[in-house]
Amino acid sequence: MNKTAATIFCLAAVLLTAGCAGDEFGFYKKGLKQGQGTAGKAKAGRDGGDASAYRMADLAPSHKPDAKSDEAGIWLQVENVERRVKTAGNRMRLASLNAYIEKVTCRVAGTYCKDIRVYTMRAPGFNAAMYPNGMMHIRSGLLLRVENEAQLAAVIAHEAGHYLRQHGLQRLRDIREKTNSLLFFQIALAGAGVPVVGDIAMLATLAGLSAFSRNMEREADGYGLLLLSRAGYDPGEAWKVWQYLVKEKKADKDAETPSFFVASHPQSKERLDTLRDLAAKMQTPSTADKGRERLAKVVLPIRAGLIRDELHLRNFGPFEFLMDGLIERGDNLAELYFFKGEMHRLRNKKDDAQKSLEFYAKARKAEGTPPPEIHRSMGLVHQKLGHGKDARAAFRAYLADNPDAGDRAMIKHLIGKLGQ
Amino acid sequence: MKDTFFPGKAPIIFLVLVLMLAGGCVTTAYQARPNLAANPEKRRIVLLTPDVELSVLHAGGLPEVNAEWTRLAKKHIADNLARRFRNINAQLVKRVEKPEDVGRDPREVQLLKLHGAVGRSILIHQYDGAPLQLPTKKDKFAWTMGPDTGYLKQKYGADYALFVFVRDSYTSSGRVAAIIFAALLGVHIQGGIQLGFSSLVDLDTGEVVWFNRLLRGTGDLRTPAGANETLGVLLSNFPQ
Repeated sequence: MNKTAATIFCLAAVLLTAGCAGDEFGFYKKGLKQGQGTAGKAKAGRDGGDASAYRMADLAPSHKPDAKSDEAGIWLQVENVERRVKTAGNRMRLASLNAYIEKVTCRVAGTYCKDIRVYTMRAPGFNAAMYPNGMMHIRSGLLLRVENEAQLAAVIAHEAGHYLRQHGLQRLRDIREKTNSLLFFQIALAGAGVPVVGDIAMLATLAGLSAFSRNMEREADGYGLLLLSRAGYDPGEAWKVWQYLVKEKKADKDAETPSFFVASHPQSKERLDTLRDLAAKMQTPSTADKGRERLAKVVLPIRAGLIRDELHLRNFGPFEFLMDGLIERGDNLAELYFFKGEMHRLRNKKDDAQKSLEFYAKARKAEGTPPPEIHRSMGLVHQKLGHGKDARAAFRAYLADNPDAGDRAMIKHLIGKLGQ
Repeated sequence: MKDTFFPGKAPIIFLVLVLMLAGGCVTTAYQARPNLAANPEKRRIVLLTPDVELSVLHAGGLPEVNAEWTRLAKKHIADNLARRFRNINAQLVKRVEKPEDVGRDPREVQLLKLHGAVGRSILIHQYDGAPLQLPTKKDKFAWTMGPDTGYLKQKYGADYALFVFVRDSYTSSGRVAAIIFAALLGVHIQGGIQLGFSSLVDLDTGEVVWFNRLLRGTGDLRTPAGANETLGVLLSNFPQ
């Protein structure tokens, strides 16, 4: 396969998503190149400031593509994907969660409520993605990172912006045009025997596609903020999501900054600043809503599982940052201290064993309920440190608390090995 | 775009690579049994939602699915199969499916996914020259989806299920121009290709009775005559 073909495969692979939140966010001052609909000119409106540039798209509610159009082709492909997603093993099926997400989506999407279907997929990390036919994915890791319903709504509204502006279709057309002209350019150069310039042309094409994608992200940011504000949420919450991400990334020593040529999203800092400025210009009514309790009510019962997903990544820097943020918010501290203990136990560097025991002890005293495996974790750490008596006592407490534990035989074996 | 959940495209790219590595543009059908059940009452075949996409290949090589062609291809495939099965005294079970009902039944979707996994395993492990051909599969063809296929027997009143997967691309006029332009300069550019596989499964046991693959630079599913030709190749050596 030649290089162009390889590039095109990659492009085709990213094509089906209309856009995603990624780990960056930002803003856009003009209108994007117009495929369908118009962004219109900025004028002072009740939404205030530059936000009125993001006039709602001309996309009609219940939009269906014309059967003979290129758009119908993308929809067909994505509908195949959606069928698989519906029965995917990691799709979250908790009725209370799904009903809640749907309610928030409908609140921001308004008349487009029925056109957008959100699937929450069980996966760590922050991301959300919009597909051209109205299918939206959010990762369960997002639920840990947003502080309140308004922040969750900000992400959903951003993704809805991609749908309203038909970014998937616009991107397909953009890729088609740019790869077509690239090919002819490359053939000509290959024929002339100058392949190096061909590579530069490909890089330029990639940079062009990435710039187009960044502009779509900026536009979705704008639409998202407008939807958020119209739904009665506090628009001042949107930028905080991206501020969180900037900080989480800083805590990750292994993170890389994508090159300008391939960055599909604008820099987080740019997006954060623009969103904050814009929200400040909006007239936020005193009734604007954050909805911290509503979110907590849905997330708290499933939070331990979501934290375990994050821990399985073994990326301890961002994990610690995430946990410290949750501890600051302070719901069910016993659970949170337990997982900080788990982090130290699994990291297993200098002093970590001792620190994990400190956190387990803290968890047992704190408000809330620690997960049922706390005594097993304590037993494992004591065993490692050679505290035979404490390890035995902890393992026994684990078995007493969890008479039906699946690992009962294993724990009994460990107790036996520890001797008297 | 980092970390985007993206289930759609990878399996197809994978499949193209596997089919290409397996080499040869010929079709090689495998049979576990040469015949369908002798009892005419036990020769009912249901065609499950064919996984078919027809695309136009743009000058730059970007394939773009065409919904209208795809719709026509699915219709031609179903019509043509009904005729073929009549000729071998088998019955194609009538199965009317509204677009909005496709994929509504989770058990059926799971079986379609399972078939995709089994089919890809056959492509990788069975064929001569396949990247991971298994010594145990060298001289015999023995694959099964397991007894859960009984669900489809109950649902459709069929004895066998036919699964069809086809990706078919057609060269746009721009691509044709590119091919000619490039050829003048001594550069080769691939035109449209037709690739796919199909299997017949015994719904009582889940056994794959017959399997075939397709990879070639010709073929056209957009017309009844073209579909007849393609299915003739794809269904070669089909149990009688």
